[in-house]
Amino acid sequence: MQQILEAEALKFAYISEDETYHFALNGIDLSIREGEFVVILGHNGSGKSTFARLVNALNTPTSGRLEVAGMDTAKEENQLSIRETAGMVFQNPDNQLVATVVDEEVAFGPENLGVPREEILERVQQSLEMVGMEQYQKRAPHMLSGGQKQRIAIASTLAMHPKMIIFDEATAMLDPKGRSDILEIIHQLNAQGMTILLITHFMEEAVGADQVVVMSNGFVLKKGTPREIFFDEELLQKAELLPPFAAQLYMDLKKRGIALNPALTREELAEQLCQLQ
Amino acid sequence: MPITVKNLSYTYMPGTPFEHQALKNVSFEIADGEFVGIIGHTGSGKSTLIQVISGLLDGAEGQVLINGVDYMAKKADRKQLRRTLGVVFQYPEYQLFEETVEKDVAYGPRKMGVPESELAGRVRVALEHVGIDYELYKDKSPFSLSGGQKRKIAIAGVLAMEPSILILDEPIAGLDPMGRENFMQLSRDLNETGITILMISHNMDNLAEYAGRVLAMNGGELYLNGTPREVFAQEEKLVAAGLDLPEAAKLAGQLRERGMDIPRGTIRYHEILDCLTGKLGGAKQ
Repeated sequence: MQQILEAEALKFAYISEDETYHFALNGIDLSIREGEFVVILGHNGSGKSTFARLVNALNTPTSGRLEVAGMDTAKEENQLSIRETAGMVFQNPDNQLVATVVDEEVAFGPENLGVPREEILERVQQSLEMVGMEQYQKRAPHMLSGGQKQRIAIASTLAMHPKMIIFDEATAMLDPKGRSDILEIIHQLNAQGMTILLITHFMEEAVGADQVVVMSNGFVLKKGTPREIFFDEELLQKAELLPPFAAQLYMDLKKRGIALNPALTREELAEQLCQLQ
Repeated sequence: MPITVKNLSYTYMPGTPFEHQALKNVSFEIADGEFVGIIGHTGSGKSTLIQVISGLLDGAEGQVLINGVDYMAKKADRKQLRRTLGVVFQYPEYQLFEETVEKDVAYGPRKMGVPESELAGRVRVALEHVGIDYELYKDKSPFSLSGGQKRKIAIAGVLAMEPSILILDEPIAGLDPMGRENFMQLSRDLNETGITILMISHNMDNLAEYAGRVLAMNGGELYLNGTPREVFAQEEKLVAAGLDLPEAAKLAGQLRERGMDIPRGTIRYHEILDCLTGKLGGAKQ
């Protein structure tokens, strides 16, 4: 598989008014293969969102190198094609939606890319179908629920035919139903080959990932599979994270002398517990 | 009774094609010092409910009494309501605007007419409540702080008005796991000082642990009202209303389905842990 993202010794500093540098990223090395499902975890202020902004070329590296689909994000001439390749969905859909009708909203991206009109209509239809919102084409985005707005935001990104989508805490504001709907869509997109970079504070959302990246204070503390991450108590403590419910319960039961196989989901736990009884 | 809500109804844009009844005949009472969680999916009426209670949305039918006073009445003293009831909206950190933390936290009480000589003391106490060191932070720009710290400063600004009732709309959305735990603990501490708390949240696990009562809204109606144990035991009703269960309750249900005898009403983490430890012969710590 080809690399779609390659970060090497990547640093980024915000410069304050008195010209002092505040490093939000302190040297990130990370590579993501096409089609991978990658989750970034980390406490508030760990640098997750800054990293996402760099991937989308909204900021450029202070030092080091970041390439998206082989394009250097530091080069201004690459910016548009980088944003076409790596779409972004933010936490608050209200900050992202611009049009007054859903289909115009979804058409906005491809229109700006100069896609011919016939193809735009096709893309809008297809993108709305992918998020299950085709019946809302003529509705006003601001009249929809949070989860529906977020689905429109995803459709707008899909209409640009990206290879990768970055979700920056895209489920933080949603109710439980909205959250599980969006997660299902994200997994469906990944199953169809879309590379996913998901930034979240919900550990459960990381359980199905190919790769989990734990960040703290602008560093990557550890990269690994969900199993390599969530049973590493020392790491979680250092990163100020809590394991998912099932992993926590597995570890606490172990401390009380009840030995199970490591479990990341409730289903895995339930199966084993019933056999023990 | 700090909050009494009687037959409360509210309709957005009445008489237009967009007419929408957001509250339908809602009634409940909240006693002094309670910690009440409000759950409901988007559009269920939670936010409308707290906006009407806090006097931010006029034109409701029915009655809301705050400490026995009807602030929906024409000549009501809204200033008194502001002193009694503090509201923390979603993402309150976006409301910060002053140059320094001290000025921002002092803004509310200053506008309320608290004498200048008392302001510093109030700001200090409010910041201490949210775990922010007064001396270290008072002269900093609120915009130089992290998201979690900004949110604490914003909440300190509400606490500095010394409300006896605190209404929080999704206060933990967007916080990291530790931030969520710390914030819930802070809410409990405030509650233990006697402040009545009303908290909207989508986080069932947190409400199961911390709330004394849960109100579930659905389609503008008060759908369920009881202790977390009573409310979260009604799995079918919650799922029908698009609501979730705490993780511990979900696992308990999965175990019951597989024939294990886990009591209904197991909703908290330590409850399922102790229950399983007992059943499987582990040693309690």
